[in-house]
Amino acid sequence: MVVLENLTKAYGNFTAVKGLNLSVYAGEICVLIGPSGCGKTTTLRMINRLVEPSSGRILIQGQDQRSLPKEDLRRRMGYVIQGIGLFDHMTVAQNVGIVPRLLGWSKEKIAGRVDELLDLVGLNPREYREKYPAQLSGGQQQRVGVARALAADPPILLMDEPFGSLDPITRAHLQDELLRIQRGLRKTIVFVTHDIDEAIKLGDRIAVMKDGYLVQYAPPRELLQEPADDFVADFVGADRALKALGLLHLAEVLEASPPVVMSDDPEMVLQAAREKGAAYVFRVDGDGLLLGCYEATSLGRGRPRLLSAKAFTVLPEATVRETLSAMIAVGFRDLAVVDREGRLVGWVPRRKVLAFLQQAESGEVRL
Amino acid sequence: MPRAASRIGILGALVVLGAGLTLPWLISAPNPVALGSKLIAKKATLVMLTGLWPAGASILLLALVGLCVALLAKDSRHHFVLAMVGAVGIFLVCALGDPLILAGQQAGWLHRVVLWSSGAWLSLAGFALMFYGGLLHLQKGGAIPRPIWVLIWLPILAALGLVAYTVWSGSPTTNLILASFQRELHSGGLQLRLGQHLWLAGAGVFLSVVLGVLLGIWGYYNPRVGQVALYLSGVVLTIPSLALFTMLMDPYSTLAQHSPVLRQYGVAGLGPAPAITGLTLYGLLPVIRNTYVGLMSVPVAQVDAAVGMGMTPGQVLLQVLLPRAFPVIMAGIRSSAVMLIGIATLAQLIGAGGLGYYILSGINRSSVALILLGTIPAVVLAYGADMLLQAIGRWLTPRGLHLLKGVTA
Repeated sequence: MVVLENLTKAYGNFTAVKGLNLSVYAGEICVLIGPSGCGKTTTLRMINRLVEPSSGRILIQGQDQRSLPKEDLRRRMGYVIQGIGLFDHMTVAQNVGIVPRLLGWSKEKIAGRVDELLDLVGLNPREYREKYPAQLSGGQQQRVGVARALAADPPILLMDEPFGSLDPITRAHLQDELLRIQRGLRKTIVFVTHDIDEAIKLGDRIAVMKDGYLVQYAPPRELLQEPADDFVADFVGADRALKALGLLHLAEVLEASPPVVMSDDPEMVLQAAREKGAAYVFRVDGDGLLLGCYEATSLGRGRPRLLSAKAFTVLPEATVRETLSAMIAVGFRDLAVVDREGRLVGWVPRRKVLAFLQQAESGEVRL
Repeated sequence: MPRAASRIGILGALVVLGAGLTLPWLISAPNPVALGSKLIAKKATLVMLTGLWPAGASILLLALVGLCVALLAKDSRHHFVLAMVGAVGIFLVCALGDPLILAGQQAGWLHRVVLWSSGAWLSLAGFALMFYGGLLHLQKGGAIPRPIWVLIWLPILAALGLVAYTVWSGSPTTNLILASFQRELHSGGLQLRLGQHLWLAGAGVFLSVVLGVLLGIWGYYNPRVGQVALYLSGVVLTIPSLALFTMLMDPYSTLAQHSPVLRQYGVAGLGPAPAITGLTLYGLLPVIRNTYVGLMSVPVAQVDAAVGMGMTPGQVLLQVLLPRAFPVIMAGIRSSAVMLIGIATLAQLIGAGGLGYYILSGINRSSVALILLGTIPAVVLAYGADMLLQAIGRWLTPRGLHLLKGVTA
């Protein structure tokens, strides 16, 4: 879809990008990452010809990008930047409608498209259409920035550290939104960042650059498991094993039928605990909603005390990394897997996690 | 002293009490030239004008009331009273003009030619200070309902109306300034000079805006050009205006000698052509500087986004750069306009006419009235142009920019 061939950019004596070869498949997110000055932004800006390559070429859908006038080429690519760059003197609707207007769409078509896009990025069109950038928060501004880039439905999206200036919570939220939108739209996205966590979260493939060279180009898991050299290993961080756990789903350590009782009968509690080899037994009601848990080891003669299970739960879509983190936080105990309605859908026994980590140590599971 | 006391109001009241009642209100002489001579000129204080003692008493009373209110003011109702005292005082001083002069002449205190003197002017200023002081606190408080608010302005409007009526009606007035206004208005001289002045300054502003904005834009794309243009227009400003006008006379007279066509259109070494050229050169700097700085201060991200989305250079300029920089450019146009209206008074020195005609003949004949006849309309014109351009600027500034902090029209 986007192919960079032997791409070089020199500024006088300084060579920013050196003989870069890279292909990005249609519908995938390719993340360019590296320390500042590694040439990642220059590379991105060569794709829409904001920077002209010194040598080499770029093919877009098999066609040399220089066969089109610059402006036409750029109108076919969405462009989102860290500074966002919304035009202060235009309303949100005017900002989003810029490329359609440049392409000569009718007013009605643009208005319809604007509303559709604001909906897509999670802003209520009726409320936000006529607002000005100065009236929006940073996160809202970047949502508009993303909507603006998508306005003319370009097949390719170029994003230059789009979430770099946002606070961590807003950033995480917008990353999730981008993934949600991407599941529906399947754009070809080239995404520049210097945040390795962002790269691992968003990238289908990650291109690590250093001093203008491409050091490694691989899917996140491969990058974490087999860093090409010390630079990449350093760059992905000493906790790369933990980061790899972040790519694994909870299913790896999940067991379907938890030790469960529907009453506070001590006999039943003890039996359920023995059956599953568990230290804790979960109490549910008739609808399967988790009410709390009993500690099987401290059963006295009377009715057992119902403990709150709030800290002992993880969501079904959690990663192994999040599960492990929750388990450590509560003192390495069994966890309940509870869906958003509060229903008990499974559990993570501590022995299973221990076994998993042993497998990882012995190389049976690669982290 | 209560915290809400109006210091400006107190100052105003003291000025009226001190200067207004002790300094001469009127100065008179057998003819205008003699006004400057200490030997012939006569001066009359308010106290001396005994025939009009109620007038003096009411000004004294008003100033005392104003002083008390200003000292003891606690809430916005008191400040309303203070502003009202100031406004009524302004009206009173204006209304007293002619009767005072007549009374003075009848009593033999005054010669034929009469001019307001420091006492009258300072009283006017003192009441204006009281008015302003009261208004200042009123705006801060804001507890006075709108219909009553408007009442403050009535005496002021009445005073202006009275002055305008005196000048307009043609009824003989003994006040020299009003009389000269009256004479020039009815002979059409004032209209002619005002028209010339507007034409000189207007043409200068128009040309410097067109040239200045173009040079500013050129400078934005080519910083070296920008530096040179800024430097040269700065150098022009250091040339004394008289010298600049004179320097331009020679090239224009040469031009007119060699081109009958230009001569036909009135181009000559003297007259409007070199004057407008000089004014244009003076007006350039604020326009170039503000255009250049305004364009430079458009956030880089917005320009980058505009180019990256596929705007052509022309679209970037017209749809992003100029609208975004508009408030700054407009501010430059405003300062250029105000400056040129002032400098245009010197155009008479090379025979271009305008309000400078009155100022120069006033200087030649030692006539304060004539000087003011040129100065007052020029000041009003400059202030009016500034207000008008500010309103136009606000109106044309894209709404989204009003919401930004630190961007003003």
